Amino acid sequence: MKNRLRVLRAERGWSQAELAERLRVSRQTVNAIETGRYDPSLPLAFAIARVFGSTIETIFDPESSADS
Amino acid sequence: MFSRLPSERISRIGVVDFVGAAATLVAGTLLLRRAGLFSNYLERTYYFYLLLAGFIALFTSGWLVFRIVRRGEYPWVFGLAAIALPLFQPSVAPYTVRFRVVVAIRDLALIATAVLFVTRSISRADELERRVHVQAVSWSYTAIVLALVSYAMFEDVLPPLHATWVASALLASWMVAWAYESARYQR
Repeated sequence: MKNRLRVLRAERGWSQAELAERLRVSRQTVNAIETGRYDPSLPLAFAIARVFGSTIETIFDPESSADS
Repeated sequence: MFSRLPSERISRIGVVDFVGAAATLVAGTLLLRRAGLFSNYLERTYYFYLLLAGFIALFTSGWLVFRIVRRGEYPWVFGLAAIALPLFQPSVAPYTVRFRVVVAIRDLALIATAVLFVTRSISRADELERRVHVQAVSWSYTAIVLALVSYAMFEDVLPPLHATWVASALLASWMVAWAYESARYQR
């Protein structure tokens, strides 16, 4: 599943480690989500949306695959 | 100074500590075993130096393990346990009640501490790391079960299998599968 995590993070000037700290996950989890190798659980997706002050559907695009 | 590898649960300094801890654990155990088994036949001074070297090696190993644990790099504990288990063979120890009790207490204390540390670490892990563990355990247990069934087919012609070897193989394969699965989610 594609997402705008990297773009949103870059807009705020956060590193992966900083975002990971805000989400209380490891840096590699943020990296895996950004690269589309891992789709987060619903609670984590809500946490991501909350951190960016956005909604899940504006960050994640269920219609597309990260590989495509 | 030491950058992190794909998984932050394993750092480069952790590799050095792990190799050092494993080497000193093996050396210390073998030195003390030699001192214990041949205590009646060895020269007094040589016996003393064997004991001293063995305890220094084990102390160094313990100190390196402490550094690993302090950094929270718990996957190395799987590797160390896999190396330590074949060394901890109570049946190899001299058959005296006192010695067996000492060995049993040492093994139980070490295993309980390791299990507590690993379970606490995994319970604090995030969702991806837990998922990686589930995948790693499923791969490693499947591989070991297949290996055991294959062994069972030729059991009568193959050398006997020690229980500690099986436990060691389970832990080692878990660690290898964990490292592989962790790397799969990184780029």
